[in-house]
Amino acid sequence: MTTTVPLHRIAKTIRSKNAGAHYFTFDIIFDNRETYERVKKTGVITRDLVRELYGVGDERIAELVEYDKGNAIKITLRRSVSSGDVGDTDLYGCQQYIPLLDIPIPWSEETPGS
Amino acid sequence: MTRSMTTLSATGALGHEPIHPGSFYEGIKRPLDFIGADAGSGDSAPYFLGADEPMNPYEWEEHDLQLLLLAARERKIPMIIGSAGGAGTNRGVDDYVSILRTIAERHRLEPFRVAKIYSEVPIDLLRERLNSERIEPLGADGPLSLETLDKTDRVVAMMGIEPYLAAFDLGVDVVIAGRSCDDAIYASLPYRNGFPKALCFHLGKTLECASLVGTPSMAKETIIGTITDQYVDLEAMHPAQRCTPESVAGHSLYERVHPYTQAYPGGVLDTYETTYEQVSERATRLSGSRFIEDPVYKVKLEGAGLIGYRALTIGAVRDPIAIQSLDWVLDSIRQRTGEQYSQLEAGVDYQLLFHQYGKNGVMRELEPIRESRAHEICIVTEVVARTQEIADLIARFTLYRLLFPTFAGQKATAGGIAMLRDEVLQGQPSYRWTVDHLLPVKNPLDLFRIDVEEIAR
Repeated sequence: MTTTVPLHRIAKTIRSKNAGAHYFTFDIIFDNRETYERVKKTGVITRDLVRELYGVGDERIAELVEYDKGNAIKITLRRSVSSGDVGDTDLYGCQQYIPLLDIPIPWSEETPGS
Repeated sequence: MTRSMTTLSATGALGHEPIHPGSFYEGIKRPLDFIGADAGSGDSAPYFLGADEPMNPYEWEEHDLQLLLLAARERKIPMIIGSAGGAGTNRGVDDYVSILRTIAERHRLEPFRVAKIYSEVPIDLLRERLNSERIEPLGADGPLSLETLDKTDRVVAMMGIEPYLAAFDLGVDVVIAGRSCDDAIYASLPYRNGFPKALCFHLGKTLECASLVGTPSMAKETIIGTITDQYVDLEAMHPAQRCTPESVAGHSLYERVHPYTQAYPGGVLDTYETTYEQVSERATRLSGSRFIEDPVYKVKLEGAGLIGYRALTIGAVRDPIAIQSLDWVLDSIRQRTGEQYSQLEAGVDYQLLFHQYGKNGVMRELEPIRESRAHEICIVTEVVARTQEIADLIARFTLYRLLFPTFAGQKATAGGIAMLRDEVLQGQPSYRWTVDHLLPVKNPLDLFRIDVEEIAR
């Protein structure tokens, strides 16, 4: 039976940080190749999903890369305000990953992390 | 026998938090060819570059420099520090050299030669270049303009490996460099000794944040890197940390736009074909990286400019009826402020921001939760104005409007905000990253000046 599991139950690391002064970059890293491939195969983490989660247009999404060597999915978003400028509320960009935590991932058989 | 060079990285940000000495002393038991450290970061906002202020407490910088210098001089091996002072300004370089003099005197060190590589770029030089060419953006919104330069206080150029090579050609023991590509700090000496450029840069890329390349993630712990003609080995020195294929490959994600490619002055490191393998309990080997030369050598420019002076107030709202109307209350205060100070133009003479912590204070327009579930909301009011006096005045005015708000269903009439303090707090002046562009140069040394000084006790 297929059910869904929030991404934070499956991924080892979910984080965000500045990549230079003008970008937030998000890393979703998995413990092993098998889990990474399973999540990749669900096809859930897409540019469409990122647009929806963050309420941004496609032009803000600089990269969405499946990084096989690191068992990771990387997303990079253009900031609306550069780091440290008036109106920036997260200088290091390290608290912007929250909407990724609960991405529902279709998951069958045993539920990892339970 | 395979030839090799071995180096040590103890910190990803010298002086940002003191180096943890345990794993450092473990690391210096190894036969080392040089010691490096990156002192810089663009992450700590444009203030330090614009205002030319040190990013870190003097004590921490001295602590770290002393650990590294004493180890390097004892072994008679080079010490290389990049992005001195955090932002890599000329003052940052001079301050570090001054700390080295103090340490040399205190420890009665034998004389040694220091190269100071300065990387500030005169803004007039960029104005001249703009007369005859376009300067393309790296992260900035568009090509460099005279208008942007008029709003810029200071510019540094980010050096590649070439200024380091030129410094070592002058026969120095220590290099204190201004703004530097982090990875060049570790790539330069191996490259000078003929190791493959791709591996030199990949050595730098994996070492520049020290123990962030290992697992579990740790900061300020020592990593040893060894380069040969075929591979790079990385080994964690903290007893509880390992470098694994996953952790080393995973580090390519950290603070970078793309995990497979990394641009440098002069070319791009391509890690699509890189392989990673565990070679001992705590060490991982990488090989197969490629370096693609750029036909035009381009140097990244970083510039910052003053926007204005800052004042802050802090308070919180606990009343649930008030919280329901908070957006409306804040809008009306903004409007009332504009009326009271109609001689000032909002958005030009001053910018007024209400940060609502408990609602969307962290993620602003990216926040998916529209209706706050918080039972109290902290309001940090931030004013950035063209003078400190205006900033203070607007901040105080809005604070007292928050004290006596008017809103629908109001029961309390004696005060609407729990003030942490009733005084206005003065923040640092506000700067903006103005220049984030790529300047083509004929000679990689063009924007950098090297002075040599002998430090004798």
